[in-house]
Amino acid sequence: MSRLLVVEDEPANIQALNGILRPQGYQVSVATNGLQALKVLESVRPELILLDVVMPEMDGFETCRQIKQSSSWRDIPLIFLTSRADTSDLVRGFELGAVDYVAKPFHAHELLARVRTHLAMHRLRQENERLVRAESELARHRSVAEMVAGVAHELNTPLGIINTAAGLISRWASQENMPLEDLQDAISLITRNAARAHKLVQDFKKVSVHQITDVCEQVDLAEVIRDTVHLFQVSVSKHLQVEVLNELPPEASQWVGYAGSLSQVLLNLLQNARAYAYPEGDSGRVEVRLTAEDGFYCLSIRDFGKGIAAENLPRIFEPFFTTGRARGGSGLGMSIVHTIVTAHLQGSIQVESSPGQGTQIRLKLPRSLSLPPG
Amino acid sequence: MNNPAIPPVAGLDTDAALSRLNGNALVYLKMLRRFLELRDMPDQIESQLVAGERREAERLAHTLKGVAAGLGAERLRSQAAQLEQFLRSGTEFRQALQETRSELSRLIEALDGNLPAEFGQAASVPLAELCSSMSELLLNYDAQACDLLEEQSPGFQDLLSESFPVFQKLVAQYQFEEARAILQQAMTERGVSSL
Repeated sequence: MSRLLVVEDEPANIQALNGILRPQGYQVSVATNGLQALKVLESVRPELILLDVVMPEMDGFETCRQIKQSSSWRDIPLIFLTSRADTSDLVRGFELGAVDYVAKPFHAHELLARVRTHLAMHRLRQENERLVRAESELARHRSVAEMVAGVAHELNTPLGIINTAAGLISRWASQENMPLEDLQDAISLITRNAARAHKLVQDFKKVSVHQITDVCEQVDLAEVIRDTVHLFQVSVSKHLQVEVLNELPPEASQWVGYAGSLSQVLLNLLQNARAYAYPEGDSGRVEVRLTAEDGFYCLSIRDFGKGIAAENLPRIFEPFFTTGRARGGSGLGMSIVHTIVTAHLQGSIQVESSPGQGTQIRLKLPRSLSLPPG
Repeated sequence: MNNPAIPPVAGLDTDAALSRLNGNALVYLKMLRRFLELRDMPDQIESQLVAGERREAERLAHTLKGVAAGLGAERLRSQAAQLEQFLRSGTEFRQALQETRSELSRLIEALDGNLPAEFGQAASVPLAELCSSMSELLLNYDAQACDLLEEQSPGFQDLLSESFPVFQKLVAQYQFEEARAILQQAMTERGVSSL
């Protein structure tokens, strides 16, 4: 049973509203003025708010403004009740974030239809958000799984070399005269390859931990980018030459954000470059450039490959839009990237492209995420 | 669609109002009962004007217009609309106020005492349960509190004794927090614990 909040100063009108809503099974909470509405919202969570415009002291518009300022209440759909047919009033209501308005005197059918519609839309929106979050998390875990095979394969080489060199040293140790130079060569082979293996495991550990936990914390953005690119090259694609260009001074790339989500976005974009910019598996180049502008970091991923056709460009962030369905593309990758960048990372994303010239994707991220309290 | 419970009154288009309410005569009757509370509205408008609060007077006229519209009281609605207009534009409003006042008293006089009683005697409910239900409703600022109070009026009168009139007024005006405080007080005094 959905609970609604009615904010209306005139008891006769409250009766009318209650009389229309209650028989439909809604539970109706009442506030008779703006201040009381804010008080009620502290202990009651309605699924929808019906708000009178003309009220003493704090009118409906001001009440709406204050409700929308709270991060806990701003998503509750809000419908204005008004007997003023002024268009400018209605526009103002919508600008303040109302989803609809109902004219007084109330027509039961009309009121109920609007309430039902907005409740349904709100639920769908929430469900959609939940699905996107679930999809994101799944994609991050999948990335880790994909990387494991690649990393394991990569480790084979340095470990193989270490093994061979150790075998040689062992043989020479039982000989009468140990060839000193050869010994030194063997030792440096071991040292170099041990370091190489160690770095690979460390990088994998860092990126995979971020992917799995995805918490908001302070990290070195340049480092996250370098580690992600390194792992991409090693485990996913050697054909693609990915160059990381950090134009910021050292230590100047501290970032407070979700490193796992950023890695995921970057991996997604690099994978797209591999699949779509250079589709025939030919080798190609991607430039990942990190710069800063005002209070933002700018991350640009640029390839010099096939490019995106002009008629497709406005649609690339559309859910389920893809030109690669035959290859198993779901079309969800870019729409999830868009959601992660804009909603989760509080940034913006822009794409420029021309056929034959390549594609450039620009991400703009705040230096530090502002998190809601509590 | 003549509903026997609703007294026919000139200037009250019951059919139109009922059709907007999907024929719900019970709700219409509730609205009419609330309407009776507005009998002092013209006086209130007058005193706001005397105090120099023209915006507030205008808002009251606007409210009256809205209620009249909802009830199908077309003559009253158009008079209140006229009054609101004059107040807003600063034109001479005395006659409009007088006309509104006389139409309002005419309607109220016709309705007062002629409206059927709202609730019959409901089966009485054990005190603890009554308090618990009311407490819960008040906590959620739920409009059902008004109905529960009416339905179980004897039980609450018994519980609250001298505090009953105050409690009743607070609930009728949706001042649920203050009403709840009174209820809690009475419950403590009578040793009723909340379920």
